[in-house]
Amino acid sequence: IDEKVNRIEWLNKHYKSLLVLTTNDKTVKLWKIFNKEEPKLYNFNMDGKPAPESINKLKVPKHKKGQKVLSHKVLKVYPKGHEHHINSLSMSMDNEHFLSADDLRVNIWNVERSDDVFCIVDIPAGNLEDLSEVITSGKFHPIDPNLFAFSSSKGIIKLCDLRLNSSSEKNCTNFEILEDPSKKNFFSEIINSVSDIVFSKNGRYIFSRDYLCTKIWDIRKNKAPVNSLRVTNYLEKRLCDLYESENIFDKFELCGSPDSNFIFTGSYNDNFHIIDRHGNCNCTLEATFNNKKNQMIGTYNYYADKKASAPGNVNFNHKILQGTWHPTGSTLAVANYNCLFLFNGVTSQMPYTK
Amino acid sequence: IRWCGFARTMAGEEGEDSLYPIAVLIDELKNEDIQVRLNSIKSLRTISLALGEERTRSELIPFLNDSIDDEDEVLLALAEQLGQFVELVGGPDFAYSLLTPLENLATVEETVVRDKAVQSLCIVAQSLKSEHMNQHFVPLVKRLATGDWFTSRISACGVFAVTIPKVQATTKAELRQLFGQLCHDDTPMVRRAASANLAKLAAVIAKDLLKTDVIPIFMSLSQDEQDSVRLLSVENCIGIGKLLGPADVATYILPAVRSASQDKSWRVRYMVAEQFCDLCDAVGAEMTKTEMVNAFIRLIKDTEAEVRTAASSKVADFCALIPREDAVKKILPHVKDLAGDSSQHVRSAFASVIMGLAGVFGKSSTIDNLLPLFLQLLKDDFPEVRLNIISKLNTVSDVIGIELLSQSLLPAIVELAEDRQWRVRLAIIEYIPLLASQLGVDFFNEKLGNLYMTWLGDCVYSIRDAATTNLRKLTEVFGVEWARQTILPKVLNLHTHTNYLYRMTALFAIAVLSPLLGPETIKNDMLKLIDKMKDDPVPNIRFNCCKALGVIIPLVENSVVQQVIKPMLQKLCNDPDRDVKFFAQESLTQC
Repeated sequence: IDEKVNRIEWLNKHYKSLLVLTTNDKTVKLWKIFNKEEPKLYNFNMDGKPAPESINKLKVPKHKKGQKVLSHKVLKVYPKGHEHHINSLSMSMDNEHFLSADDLRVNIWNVERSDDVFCIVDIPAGNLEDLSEVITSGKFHPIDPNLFAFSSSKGIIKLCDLRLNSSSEKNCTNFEILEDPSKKNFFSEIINSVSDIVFSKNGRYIFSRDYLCTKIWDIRKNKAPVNSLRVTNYLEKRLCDLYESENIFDKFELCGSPDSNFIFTGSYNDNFHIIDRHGNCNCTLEATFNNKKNQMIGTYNYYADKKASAPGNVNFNHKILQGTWHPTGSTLAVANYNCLFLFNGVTSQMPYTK
Repeated sequence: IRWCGFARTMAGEEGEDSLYPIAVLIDELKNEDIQVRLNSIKSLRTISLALGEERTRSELIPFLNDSIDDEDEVLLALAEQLGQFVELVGGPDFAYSLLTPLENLATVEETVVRDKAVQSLCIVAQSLKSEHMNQHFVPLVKRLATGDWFTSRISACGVFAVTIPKVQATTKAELRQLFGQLCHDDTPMVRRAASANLAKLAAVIAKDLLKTDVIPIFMSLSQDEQDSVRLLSVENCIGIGKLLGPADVATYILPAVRSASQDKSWRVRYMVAEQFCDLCDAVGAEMTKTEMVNAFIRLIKDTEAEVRTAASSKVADFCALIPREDAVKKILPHVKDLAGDSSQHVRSAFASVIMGLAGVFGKSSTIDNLLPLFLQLLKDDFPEVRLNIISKLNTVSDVIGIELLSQSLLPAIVELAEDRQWRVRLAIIEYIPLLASQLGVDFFNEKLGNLYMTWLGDCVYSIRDAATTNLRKLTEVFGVEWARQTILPKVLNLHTHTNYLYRMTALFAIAVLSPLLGPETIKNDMLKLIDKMKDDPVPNIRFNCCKALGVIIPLVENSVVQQVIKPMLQKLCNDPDRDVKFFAQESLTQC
C-alpha cells in the first residue's frame, strides 16, 4: 500500500482541538491536533531515595504548569472498509458521519465507531476486466444530512437520499446528459468521465468537472445542467495525442466559493481558472513564481465571445490538479507540483458583458 | 489491599518495607508507560486508603484533577474509580469534593470517558447531602448545560434525572426549563442525548407537570428534522406512555406512533417495527386492535427490506396480542406474502417465528393456511430459512398433531436430511430424537432407520459425530432392547469398512453406547469387536481401541477386566506406535 495520503477532510470545529480525517489507499484515520501541556511534576516518593518511613511521610506528586506544545495523535483508525483505492472522503453536516468512496463502493462510517461500517453503494464487481463504470468521487450535501452524491466514470452523477432505502444503488436521481449516440466517438466516454464533484455551499448546485469543461447542475433538475462551461475546450481537436500521452486521464478537481458564485478548477500550463457560475466569464490565472507578491493578475475571457481562447503551446506536464478555497474568506490555495500558492481574491464585481 | 491493611497497622512503627509498594504505586501514577499508569489508577482505592480520608481530599483529588490531560484509557479508569470514592473521601459529608474532577472528565472529547464520568456523577449525587446538592451539584449541572462545547451539553443531559428529586420546587422548575433548552439545542447530538434521557426525567417529575413540561418536548423531538433524533422518540413513546393515563396516551402517544410508522426515513420505521410489541403495550389493548393492526400491515409491506425483516420477526408476538379472529382475518392474508418475499432476510426472519403462529391461529387455521407456508419455506433456496423452520417443528406438532405433521412434512424433512449443505443435515440430526419420541419406534424403524445409518457413514465428520452422539439419546427414548436389536448390529458392522474413518465410527459408537447397554452386551459383542480391531493396521484405530477400553473398564466386573481387557492392553503397550503405547498405558492404570 502506497505511503501517500489521498484525501484529508476537516471536521467542523465543535471541539476544543482540531479533528481531521485522512486516508491513504485503504485506511481512514482520525487525527486530533491539540495543544498539549508538558507538565512539570515534583514531590515524588521514590526519586532515588529510600521508601518513606511512615504513612504520614507518603507524598502525593504535584503539578507545575508547563509549556504548551502543538501535538497530534491518532484517535481512531477505520480499517478494512475498502478493497480498492479510496478516492474520496466527505464529512456530513451532522458532524457524526462521513463517507469514503473507492472505485466500486461507498461506505458510510460513524466517527465514533471504527468497527462498524455501512455500505450504502456497492457496485457488483463481477469480472474486474469487464468493469464499465467506476465511482470517481463522493460527497455529502453541505446542509442536508440525508443527501449525498457520487459521480461515475460514465459521466453520471447520482444523488441519493439516505432515508429512502438501506442501499442506494437503485434509488437515486441520475444527473446525466443523454448523448446522441451518433455523436459518440472513441473518446466520448473518457472525456465525459466526471473527475470530481462538489456541492455548492448553499446546497443548491452540484458542480462537476470532466476533462474539457465544468458543468453546473441544479439539484432540482436532473435532465440537463444549468450550464456547461468550457475550461480546456481547445483540446478537443487533440484527443488522439492526449490519449497516447495518457494526459486524457488527468483528473482535475474543483472547489466552490463560499458564496456559491464561483468555481475554481485547474488546467494545463500552470493555469487555473475561476469561473463564474452564471456562465459569464472565466478568469485564468497562472500559479508560477513569475508573479510578484500582491500583484493583481488574471486574464478574463468572456463566454459570450464565441471564439475560444487557445494558448499557443500547451505544456502538459505543468498541470494544476488540486486547490481549495477558504471556507468563508476569499483566499485560494493552489497546489502546483510541490509548491503551494496562496491567492487573495479582491472583492470587486467581476466585470461582464451582457 | 492485603498489604495496605498491613501498612496501616504499621503506621506508628518503622514500616519501610510495607510502604514501598504504595510509594511506588503513587509515583507510577505519572509513569511514562501507559500500562503502568493504568495499573496505578486501578489501584487508586489502595492509595487512598493508605493516605487516609483527609489527605485523599486535600492532596490526591486535586492531583487527579490536574491529570485530566491523559490518554483516554487512563481517563476512563479514573472516571470509574471516582464513582466509588464517596467512602474514601470521608462519606456523604465530603462527597462534593469528587465533583470537580468528575465535571472535568464529563467534558472531554472521548465519548466513553464522558459517559463513565456521567455515570459516576450520578452515583456520587445519590450520596450528597441536600445543602451540598444545592451548593455544588446544581451549579455543576447548570455549567454543563450551558457549556460552549457540545460535549459538556451532552453530558448535562445525563445528570438531570438524578438531580431533580433532590431539590426544591423552584430549582426543579429552573432545571426543567434548562433541559427544555437542551432539547432544542442547535447540535443534533445534544438533542439526541436529551431525547435519550427524556423518559428517565419524566419518571421523576410530578404527574401533573408531565403534560405541561414533558409532552411538548416529546412532541417536538418526535418531529425533529434529523431522523437520528426522531428514531429515539419511538422508545420514548414506550417510556412516557407508561406514565400517562389512557386518554392522554390516545391524544399524545398514538399520533407520534402513527407518524413514526409512516416516517419518510426507513430507519424510523425500522425502530417502530423493532419495538412493535412494546409499543402495543404502551398504547393499550383497544388501540392495538385498531390502529396498530393497520400500522403493522404497513410495516410488513414496507418498501425497505430491513423494515420488513424487523416486522416479520414480530409477527407471532403481535398476533398473540390481538383477538384470534382479527389475526386470522386481517393479518394472515398479508403474512402469506412474507413467505415469498424477495429478500432472504425477510423470509428467514419469518421462518423463525411462523411456527409460533400455529399456537395463535389454532388447529384448523394452521392446517389450512400455515401448513402450505411451512412447506414453501422448507423448500427455500436459502439454507438459513430452511434451518429456521426445522428448529421449531415441535411447536407445530403440539397444535396439529404428529400424524398430520409427519404426513405432510416428513417427505420434506427426508429431503433435507440428504441436503448438500452439511449444516442443514446436522440440524435435522439434532432434531431426530425429539421426532422419534413423538412418532414412536415403528415409525422410526420404518422411515428413519436407514437414513440414520447413512449419517453414520456420512462424509463429513461433524455429521458422523452428531449421529453417534444422538445414538445415545435414541437409546434413551426407545430403550436398550431396541438399541441392542436394531442399532447395534448395523453399527458394529461398520468395522468392516475399507476406510479407517468409518471403522472409527464403530469404535466411537461403542464408547457412546456402552454405558447404556449393560455388561452382558459389552462382554459378548463389544469386547469381541475390540479384540478384532486392536490388530487393525491403522494406528488411529488401535489407540482408539485403548480409549474405548478405558471407557468400558468401570462398566464390567473385575474378572472380565483382568481376564479379557488387561491382556489386550498389555499387548498394545508393546505396540510400535507411540500414541498407541501411550493410550494403552493410560487405560491400563485403570485396571
